[in-house]
Amino acid sequence: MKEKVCPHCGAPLPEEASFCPRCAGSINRRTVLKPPPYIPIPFLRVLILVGIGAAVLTALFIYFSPKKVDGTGYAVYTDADGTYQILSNVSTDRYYPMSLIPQDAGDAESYRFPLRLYINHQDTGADASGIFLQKVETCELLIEQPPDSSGPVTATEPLTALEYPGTALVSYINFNRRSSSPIWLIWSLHMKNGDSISVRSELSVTPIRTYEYSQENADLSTSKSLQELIDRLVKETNRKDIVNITLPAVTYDEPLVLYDRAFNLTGTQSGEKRTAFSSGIQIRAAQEGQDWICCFSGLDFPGDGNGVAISAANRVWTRECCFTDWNTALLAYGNAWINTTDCLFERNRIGLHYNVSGGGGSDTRFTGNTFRENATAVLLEQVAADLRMDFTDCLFEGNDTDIDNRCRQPVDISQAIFQ
Amino acid sequence: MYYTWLSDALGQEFETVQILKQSERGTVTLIRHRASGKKFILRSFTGNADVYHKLLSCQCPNLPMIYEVASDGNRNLVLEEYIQGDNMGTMLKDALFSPRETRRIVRQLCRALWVLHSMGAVHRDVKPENVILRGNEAVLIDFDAARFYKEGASGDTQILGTTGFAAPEQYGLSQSDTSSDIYSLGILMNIMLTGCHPSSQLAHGRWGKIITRCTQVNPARRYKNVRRLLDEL
Repeated sequence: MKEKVCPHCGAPLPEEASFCPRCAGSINRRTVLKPPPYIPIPFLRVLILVGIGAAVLTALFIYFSPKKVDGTGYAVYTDADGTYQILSNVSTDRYYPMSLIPQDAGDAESYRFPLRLYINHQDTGADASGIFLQKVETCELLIEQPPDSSGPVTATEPLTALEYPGTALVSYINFNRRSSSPIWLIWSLHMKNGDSISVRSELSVTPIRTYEYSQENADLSTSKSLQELIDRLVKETNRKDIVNITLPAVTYDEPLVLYDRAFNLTGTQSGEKRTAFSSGIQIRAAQEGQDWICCFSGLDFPGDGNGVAISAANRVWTRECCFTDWNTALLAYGNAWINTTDCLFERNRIGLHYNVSGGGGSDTRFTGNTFRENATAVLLEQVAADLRMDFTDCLFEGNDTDIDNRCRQPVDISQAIFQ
Repeated sequence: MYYTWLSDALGQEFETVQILKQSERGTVTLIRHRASGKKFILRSFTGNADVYHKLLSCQCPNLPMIYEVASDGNRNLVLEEYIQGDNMGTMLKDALFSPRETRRIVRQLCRALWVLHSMGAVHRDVKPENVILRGNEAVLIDFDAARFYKEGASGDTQILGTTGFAAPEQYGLSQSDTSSDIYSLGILMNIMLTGCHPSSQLAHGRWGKIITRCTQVNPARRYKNVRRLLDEL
């Protein structure tokens, strides 16, 4: 017989024993049994009815009470008419939600970018801005940021913006390098039916370094020395840093080649003489993943009837520059995007020539320019971005052709002068 | 083997206090543990001890604790808790129970029967003499007549129970099941309240209705289970 011992007194016991005769102690495990708690059936019925009633009331309450929809980068909102995708970004791609918006900030007091709101039909992807905005009571662009930020971010009132076709609303965001993180840009839409929608994107500001060069600290006397400085800075500086070069009032007679990073060139005047490039500037294409823009201001480009003053395969902005007597004054090709404001285009065969097959647009301003006595002032052969080019305050005077819009690009010439 | 071992061990460690009952089926003896002086009931009987085996592993304040069971063929030894208290049968000779006391006691008996029924067992001998009142607790004793209910069986193999308390089906009309205990409980309730069998004098009011439902001849018309009766009470 198999044996075990009594846990109380240690007496040997047969394996099947439940009781120890020596100490009179019970040695088996017992389960306390009692009937389950009583719930009267009528009460149970009432309870079930109350439960069903509560569920129905809750469902009705949820159905009829105002909805709150939140999303980061985008939100999906459904009403009786359909389902909409509401997107926030800084892109021309209306289907590209951006939960994080990176921006660089140099030493300038303020930087600005347009934050865009797109509204698409969820099922078809079609632009639903028109019908959707009719249902919106109010829209604000709220900013959540540290209260003690020394560079508070501000935003303009959201408005429909013709210069950004396809967007429902645009708000311009102002920031600088002192803007403290975290910064949340929140589209807050209140619908006429009481629903509310929030779409948020985080703004990430990266402070960047600024290099200032002039004839005081660099040899800028000739085309060769200027090109050497450019070549050196390409190697030595971070692409995100800002390079400002203030040029002396000399004429550079060799072509200048800019590549791999942005250079901001500013001309000066000494007596009657201004900084001039008689052989033009070439801006080479950006490598994949690069995103930079050159800025030229106060430069003269005197030509001899041939060649191109600025041939840009990447982004450039010209301000207060003079282009005279060129075959083509300003040529954008490849993936370039060119802005030009307050410039003079005179006696060129073509003033501004767009032949761009890719890339995206950015600034839409082509304002304040004077196009005088050109064969063709503006030739829009091919423009990749679906943006409305704004020629407000431009003067078209004595050109054979003012605007040759071959690609039927949206242009705003309502505030331009033609004579 | 274990039967012999237990029998010997009990002989060594315990002494007989009193033989409480002796019949053809066996004896019920009050025994005392020599070392501690603690009293136990020792049942020695022939027949089926399945219910006792089941009760070994459970605990209910309204049933005696079964400490040990040993079987050898048809012979069984059961060592169970000695319930020190007043026998309801004796108490009923002198007085009746108030409706409030009846309700409390019968609810406790329902709990005891619920434990048995949930194991698939039927007591089959619910009567005042098998109820001990220990303080505020009523304890249902004596499972000698108890058996397991078999689904689909046509009749009991043995007529057991006490005349007057046993349900009609216990006389061989059909197999006794849990509703047989409900029948007996109905009779018990009526006697606690009136001192009489319901056929002589039915308790008044709501009690009368409950007892009538418990004692329906057709088991299907009685309370479905003791849980329902407990709820009704």
